[in-house]
Amino acid sequence: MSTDETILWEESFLMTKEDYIDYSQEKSRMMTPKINMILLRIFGILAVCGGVIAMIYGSSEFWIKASFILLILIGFYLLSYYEVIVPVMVRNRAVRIYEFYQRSMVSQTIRLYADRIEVMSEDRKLRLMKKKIYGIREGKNSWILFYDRENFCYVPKRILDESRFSYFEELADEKKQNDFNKISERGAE
Amino acid sequence: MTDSIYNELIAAFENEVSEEEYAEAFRIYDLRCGASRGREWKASVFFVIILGSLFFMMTVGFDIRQILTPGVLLLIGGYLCIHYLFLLPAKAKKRGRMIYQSSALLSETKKFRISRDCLSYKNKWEYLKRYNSELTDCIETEELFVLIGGLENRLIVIRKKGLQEQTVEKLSEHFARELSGKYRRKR
Repeated sequence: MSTDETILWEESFLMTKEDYIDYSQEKSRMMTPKINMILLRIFGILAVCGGVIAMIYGSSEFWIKASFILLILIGFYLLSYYEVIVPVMVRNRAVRIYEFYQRSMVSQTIRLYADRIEVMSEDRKLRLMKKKIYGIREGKNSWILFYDRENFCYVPKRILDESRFSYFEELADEKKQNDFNKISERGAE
Repeated sequence: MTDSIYNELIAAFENEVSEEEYAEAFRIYDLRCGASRGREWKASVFFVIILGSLFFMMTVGFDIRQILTPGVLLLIGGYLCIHYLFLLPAKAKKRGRMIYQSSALLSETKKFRISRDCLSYKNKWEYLKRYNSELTDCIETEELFVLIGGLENRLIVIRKKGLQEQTVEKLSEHFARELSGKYRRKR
């Protein structure tokens, strides 16, 4: 297969702790089905409202009131689970994993071609033809290139100059038209 | 790549994995370090919550004004018990299939080189090298070797079918010796 060998852009970077935390947070968001988040919010609201109503109209016995307070706390826990608790857990885990692998971390080089993207390091080389990329998503600090439903390459925005954003934006538009990348809007199914 | 005595070549072979095999490997990966990890003890915690709630409801004679909280705990505990014990493992295999179907890389034939210190594979799209120290788990089943590790917690699957019996034995011995505490054999 003939390929275009003109390198449009090339940059090397070493993944920092913040990059890896951001990568882990993005992965966690990808893995969370939207329906789970919605259901947990609904149950959380029901638990809080139910607990408040029960406190007002229910029995005034101490232990019964305490159980209603517990219900309200459970409701707040459910409401904050995906917004606060999971991001904190993911962040702490990411820090531990990064510190474990830090000494063996190697820099990566990203090369953009007209027809493909190459990611290279000492222990890995990946050649992603544009048509084989499963999807692409723009995160707050990164571009995420999916080579299947769940595995992706992380490209931090900090290494890209603004002129390179258009490459990824065009790729994102292309993938949307091809009906890929619905996960970028829906989250995991 | 030249192999010195310090990094002796154990085996070199070509290997490819089918959708069903990848799905099974993904189920094992999920049990070891995914959402299904520790599902038995998590389910047992929720089972205890169910029993506690039932007991409380019985002691108050199922008085509707007093069983709101234990009732909610019973429902949540019941759902999560079923979720961890039955729904998650079934979902894991389905997820594995969907990942395989969505990937242009997983179905490609890979050329593996297993050395004393590391393993590597390559095909026309990808080259990956993992040192033994980066691997966190190696699970051997009747049909597969499932290797997990690296910063991305990557899954590497080696199918036994198509390999010579001698190669399979060498791989089994090698992983058991070099990965000792991380190696498990599932029958």
